[in-house]
Amino acid sequence: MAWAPPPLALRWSGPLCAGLSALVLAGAGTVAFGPVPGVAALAVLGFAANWGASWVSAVLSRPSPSPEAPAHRAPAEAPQAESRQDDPGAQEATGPATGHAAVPAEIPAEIQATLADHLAVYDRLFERAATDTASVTTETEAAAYDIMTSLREVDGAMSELLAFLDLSGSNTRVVEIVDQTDQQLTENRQLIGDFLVRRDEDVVTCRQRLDELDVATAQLTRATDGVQAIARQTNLLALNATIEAARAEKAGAGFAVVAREVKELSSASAGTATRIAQDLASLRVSIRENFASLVTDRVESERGELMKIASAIASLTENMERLVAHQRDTLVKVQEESARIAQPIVRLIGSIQFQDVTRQRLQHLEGIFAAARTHLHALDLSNPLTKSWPDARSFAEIALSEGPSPPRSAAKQNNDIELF
Amino acid sequence: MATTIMIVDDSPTMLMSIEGILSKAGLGVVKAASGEEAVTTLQGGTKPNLLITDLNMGAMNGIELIRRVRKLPGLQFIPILMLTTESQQDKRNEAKSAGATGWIVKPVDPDALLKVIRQLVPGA
Repeated sequence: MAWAPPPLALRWSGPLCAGLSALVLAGAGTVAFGPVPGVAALAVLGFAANWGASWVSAVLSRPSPSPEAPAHRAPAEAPQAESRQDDPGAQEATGPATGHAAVPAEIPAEIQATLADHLAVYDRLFERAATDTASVTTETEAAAYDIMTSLREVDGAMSELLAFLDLSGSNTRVVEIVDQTDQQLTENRQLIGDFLVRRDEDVVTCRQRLDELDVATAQLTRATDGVQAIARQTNLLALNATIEAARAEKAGAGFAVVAREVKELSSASAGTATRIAQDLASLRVSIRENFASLVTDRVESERGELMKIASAIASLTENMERLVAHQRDTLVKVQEESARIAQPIVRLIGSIQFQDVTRQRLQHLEGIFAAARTHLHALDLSNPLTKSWPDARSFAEIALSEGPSPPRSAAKQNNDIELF
Repeated sequence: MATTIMIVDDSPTMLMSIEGILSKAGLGVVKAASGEEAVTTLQGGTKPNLLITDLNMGAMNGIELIRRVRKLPGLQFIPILMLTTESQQDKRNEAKSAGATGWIVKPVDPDALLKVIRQLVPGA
């Protein structure tokens, strides 16, 4: 008796191809392909997943092939098959009850062509999916390598910066230099202060000397007063002598001449004493004026200039201290920020592992695509070499086999670490 | 003497990632891009304090590498960690039988990895 009529085969062909897609997609699980453009072909296969999901479940849940349940039969066909159990032709058409059931000898060419067309489309889809997946693997690996290289460069630069700061001891050295400078500035300020004190002492000494000189000139002035008193007494004595000489008349003529000379000497002494006193007074005034000009004014001027220098030194010291404080704060900030950035960099470096996880999952998918294509080729009834149906269960085991662990956030889950 | 960790992985990205984590922690790193390269390096006299290997690596997988390493003189007892995307128990058991010290599923948190290393290599 001839094999099942065309309508049965047509009902069978849809779930078969859809089921293959569903197997692949179900086996792929939920790999994170969102950002991956090359696997857009998988979305095309999605429509078949819904359609064929029930077929997959049936394939996996049904028992091993037996005479009562041929391995290759789709669920949609089951009721018809069961209704044909009494039909010996049906048993003949479905072949022996093994995992590789024989292909019926007589299948209409029209059905074969239809199935071949469907299978060819899915074969191309799987081929493209495999190609795109491989491309994605290559591209993401190259991108991850570039990211990793850049991260290492950033990390290296940060490490070099920190090493430089540690090795040069910039902070410590700057503090040392500024301390030395501050010490020198303090010493200079101390020298200025000491100098001013000494100048003040010099002024006091000069004033004392001047006072002593003043006393000495006063004594000299008093001495000239004595000279003038003697001159007055001498003049009075000369006057008395002149009177006495006049009373002696001719005998006193010579004495009168002497008395007149004494009087002139007395007048000359008094005049000389007066000039000396006047000169001493002028000298005292001149000394005091010159002292005020040479000592007092100049010392005050020097004090003013030195105070400006001292003030500038104090300002310089203050600015140096500010500079040091700023630089110290800057260095500390750089070190703190570098340390703070280092941890995220390590986490980023660790996160690149996701690329390897994704790569292995994609490679797992590539294996499933290859198995799917092999399975499709085995289903090609137009191939004269196709003598038996491929085993759907073995293919399902491949498609649904557990692949690499899914990508996950290492920071948000417990790490799967087991020590034996 | 600085602690040296050997990393074996056929993924250059993974090698760089793990190397980055370990070197940042001050650990010395020796890299190998395959099991064969690792064996050659070890036969050349390199004596790491700990070895981290991937499982799936082409010709020589991680388990075979462990078997080979355990036969090398002086390396029978070094800690060997399997760092892999696989998490199946049967594979863990196989690795344990081959001589693995531990099993870590990728991706691993850097701090967790360093903690395990320091646990296995005191002073690291």
